[in-house]
Amino acid sequence: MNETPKISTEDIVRRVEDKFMISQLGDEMVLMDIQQGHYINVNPVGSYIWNKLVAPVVVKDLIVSLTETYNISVQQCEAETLKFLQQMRQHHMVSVHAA
Amino acid sequence: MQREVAFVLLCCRVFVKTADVAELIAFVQEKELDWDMVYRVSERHRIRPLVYRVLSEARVWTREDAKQGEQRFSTFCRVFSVFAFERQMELTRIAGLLRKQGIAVKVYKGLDFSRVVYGDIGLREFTDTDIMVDIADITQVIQIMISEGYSCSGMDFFRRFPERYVTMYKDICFEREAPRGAVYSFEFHYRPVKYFMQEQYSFEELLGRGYLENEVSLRGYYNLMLLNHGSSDYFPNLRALVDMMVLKQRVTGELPEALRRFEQLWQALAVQLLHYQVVPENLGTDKALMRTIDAVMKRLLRVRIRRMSYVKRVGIQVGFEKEWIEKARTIWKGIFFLLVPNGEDIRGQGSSLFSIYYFTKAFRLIKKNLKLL
Repeated sequence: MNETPKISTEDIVRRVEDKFMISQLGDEMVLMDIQQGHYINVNPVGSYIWNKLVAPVVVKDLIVSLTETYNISVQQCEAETLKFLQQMRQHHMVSVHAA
Repeated sequence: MQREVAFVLLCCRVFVKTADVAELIAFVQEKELDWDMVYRVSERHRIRPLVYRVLSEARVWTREDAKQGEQRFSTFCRVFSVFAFERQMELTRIAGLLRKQGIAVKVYKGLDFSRVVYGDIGLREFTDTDIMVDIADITQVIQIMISEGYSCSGMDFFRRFPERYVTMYKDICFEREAPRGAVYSFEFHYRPVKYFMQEQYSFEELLGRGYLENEVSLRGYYNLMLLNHGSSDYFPNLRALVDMMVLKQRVTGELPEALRRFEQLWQALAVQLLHYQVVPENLGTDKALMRTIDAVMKRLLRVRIRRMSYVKRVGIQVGFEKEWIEKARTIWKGIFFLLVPNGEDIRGQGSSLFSIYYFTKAFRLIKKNLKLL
């Protein structure tokens, strides 16, 4: 099976909405994959990222925005953001393009 | 007014932008709240997702005393979002099946209203899925829904006495168990108004020609909701008032004359409860309207409330009518509707003579009331 290519900080990401039904629950979100019938719960930080991705964003700019909003080191933020974006990509929640 | 009722009202005001978040935060800091009661008041008014969203945005849930409330609201909202998603999926499936058979259907209220007016199908509580359909297609709709595993309590009545059914009822309803509990409940409406309502409109009169093909406009929704929340239900909860305010902020244009007093009714309620800015004119001269405002207001401010009985509902309508002739007509229609046999009286009986069921109904009602004694 082909492994999903890794996302880098130079990549441009954008959310893909048309496959999901979305409901905002306070700071969190619930999404339902229309084709698969799966539910995805997204925590407040994930919800913040989802809202940022309404327009195409370079990953490194997203990381800057997150470190400014949340009290977190750049290294930790980068690692966790890339991991989260990778998960989003596996669920077809984002499209990724090389810069 | 009870503190928790005032608090929920303030949440609604923040949502419709007649109060700001600072007022809400000051309220929480100054007054001790029973969060269980806040939940129950929100439940009674069918605005739990709205209250949860307002309180989340105001960061009220970070308070230690609010934690328990947060848990209850968030659990409900999570379950409700899944409920809404599942109904949307089933609706898409059913609408697809019907269209494939050449039946034109248009979704309205419930899911569609949440999407169009609130922008989020999880933000407004609803139970049923409402669909507009042409009366000529109902027989085919019944066949398809039954073949999809749905049951229909009015089916026997409709099949045997279709003209009488259509005169008395505005829709035909179907239910089926949903995979995660509760039921899928579909209501197919061929007209927007109940038999005993004075304001008799067709969908075409309210929404224009081609209403089954076009999106329901905000103006169309405003008129429909005036009929539904106002003329049919007399604004039974805060959800109805919030709906009207949110819509009114976005619509322009003329209103059918027969609906004007219902607009005045919600506006007068919203002025007092939600600090709505537009005070309706000439209210003082309309005594019947003033009395209705008082009656509906008292009901809205009660913490616990039962579903409005049929007799109470007709009573409010009689009080609302201005002219004696209209009051008499409402009473007559109310009594007539009560006496006419329904699906329960017809089910399992073989007579093709409709009038025989007036006796069946009388017998059933006497039996039911004797049991209550």
